[in-house]
Amino acid sequence: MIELTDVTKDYPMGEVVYRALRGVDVRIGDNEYVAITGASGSGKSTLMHVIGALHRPTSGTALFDGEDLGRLSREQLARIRNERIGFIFQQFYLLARSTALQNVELPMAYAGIRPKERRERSLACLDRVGLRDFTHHRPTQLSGGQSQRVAIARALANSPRLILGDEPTGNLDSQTSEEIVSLFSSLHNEGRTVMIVTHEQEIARQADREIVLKDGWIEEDRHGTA
Amino acid sequence: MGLLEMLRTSLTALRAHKLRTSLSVLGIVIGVAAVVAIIAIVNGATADMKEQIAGLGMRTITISIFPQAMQSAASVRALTEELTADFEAAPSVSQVVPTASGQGSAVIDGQTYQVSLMGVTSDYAELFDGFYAENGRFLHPLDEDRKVAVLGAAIAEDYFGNADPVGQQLKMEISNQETAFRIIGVMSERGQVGYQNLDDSVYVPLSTMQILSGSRQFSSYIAQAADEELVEQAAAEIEAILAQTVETATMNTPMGRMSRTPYSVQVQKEAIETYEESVNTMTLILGGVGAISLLVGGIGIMNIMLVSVTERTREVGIRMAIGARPQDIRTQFLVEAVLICFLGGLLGLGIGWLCAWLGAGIGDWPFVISVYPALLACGFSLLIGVTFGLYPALRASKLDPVEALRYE
Repeated sequence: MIELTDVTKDYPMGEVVYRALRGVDVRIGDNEYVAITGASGSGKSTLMHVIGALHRPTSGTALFDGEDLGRLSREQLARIRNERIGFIFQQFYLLARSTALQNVELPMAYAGIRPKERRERSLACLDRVGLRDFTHHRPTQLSGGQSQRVAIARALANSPRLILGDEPTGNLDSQTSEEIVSLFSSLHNEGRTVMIVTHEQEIARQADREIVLKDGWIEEDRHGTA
Repeated sequence: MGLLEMLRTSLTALRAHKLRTSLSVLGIVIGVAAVVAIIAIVNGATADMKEQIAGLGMRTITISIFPQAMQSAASVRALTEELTADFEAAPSVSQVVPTASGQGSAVIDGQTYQVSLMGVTSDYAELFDGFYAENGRFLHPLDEDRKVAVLGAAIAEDYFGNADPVGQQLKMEISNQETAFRIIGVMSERGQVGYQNLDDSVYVPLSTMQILSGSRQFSSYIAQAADEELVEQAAAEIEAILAQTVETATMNTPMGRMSRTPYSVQVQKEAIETYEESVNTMTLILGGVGAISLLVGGIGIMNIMLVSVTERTREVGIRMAIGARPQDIRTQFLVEAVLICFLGGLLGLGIGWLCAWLGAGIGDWPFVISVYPALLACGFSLLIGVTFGLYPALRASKLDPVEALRYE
């Protein structure tokens, strides 16, 4: 599904250029459950942004289902993010003025799905994460765990094959974290590819594979048994 | 995402900052209202003025001969008769009415009032539709040399109120000489015609006027061309006659002795054209002021949209992460700017029309409401929205999704 070959990524930081990825080679197949770990500044978020079609690599090739992300236009990248990837962030990133239902509907609106179908599918997604009764609540009226569930429902809206979580439990207490992690596991069991960036070993252990980054390199890539 | 949905999203965003939105809308309202009101008021006033000028008839030619030197009453009279006959003999001219205008003082109840005095012939009243003696009668050819007067409607009301002036005496001082006139009639209300208000004059027989004011008087003629098409030709014929008859005056001026043509021949059409030209200039100046205020409003929109984009950088990042394309973001901000301007345009149109309506009431001219300024206002406000919304919208669409997400 994903094939990275000698990928580098530079960020200009004022006058100097900061190299976040220094030549990463990695292949991720369908229905894998991968944890990306490493110290802060190791490049794990950058790696996720490249795989998630948010950033083009500076050099090397990043193939997503065979398409070279480095050669796609911003419109084409947006289409891939919309249809094939579901993002879940540490800070939830819900639209504050919209209800839970409207937040979940948004990716479908950008996909051009008709309002009626959108509503039905959103309700199903919210049902899936156990928030059927919170459809008309706004993010400020929801707890952290509930907000993250809305974000997961939104990530599922267009039935993407890849779920990307960037420290998805970073802002949650341990019990809520467990609930969220088990949701990720069930998404994996449904046949989706799941990738989680985390610095928590307990969460990384849930995955089938752990990629450890250090200073922009892959230090270790181990396939374990959960 | 459909346009309708963009509209709904924009409305939500605009509602979130009611005061800010209202102030931005106000900027456009003032600009559009100014432009609409100016156009409507000028249109109304022009329609009114054109009607007055056209009230003389499009066949009308006004001839003015300026006083040159002291002349005896007899010679003035002779010249008038000669010219009237000559003009009437011109092939394209159908009718000529000589007039002499001047100032006089009316003495009523021991008080002296300045009045405009018109020496006219009995044909004069026929030149204007709806101008007739409402009370008593107008001048008759047999009134020549007699000291009789007909009052304009306004004069009669101002000086006699409800009393019937017909048969009363009117003492007037003309050329420092007091003369008593017998009032024989009061005219109907006719108002402004061309540059003259028919209700504000006292009409006396032309010959009487010439005898009394004699020297140095200003005389004019109102001629009718045989046909509207022949107006310019008739004017040319009249000018040819004047060139032969009236001597070119030689005057002492600071720049030495200069000669000038002591007469003018004016066609109504020209008068309307001259008027329209000055109106157009005024419209341009006032419209320019309105356009500048619209421009200022537009800059306000751009400013507020830039603030809005910065404030909602995080939101833009979220939308991009879940699949909004750059053009989706661009359209969303553009729709917002256009919505502000469109609201402003509609409100401005309403307020502009209200001002025009009030102006028409005060200025006593018709309230001309036309589709053209409405379309112009709406179109222009949309254009302002697109023009000044484009840059902020482009800026939003060019944001990097990851950086936008991290924006605090």
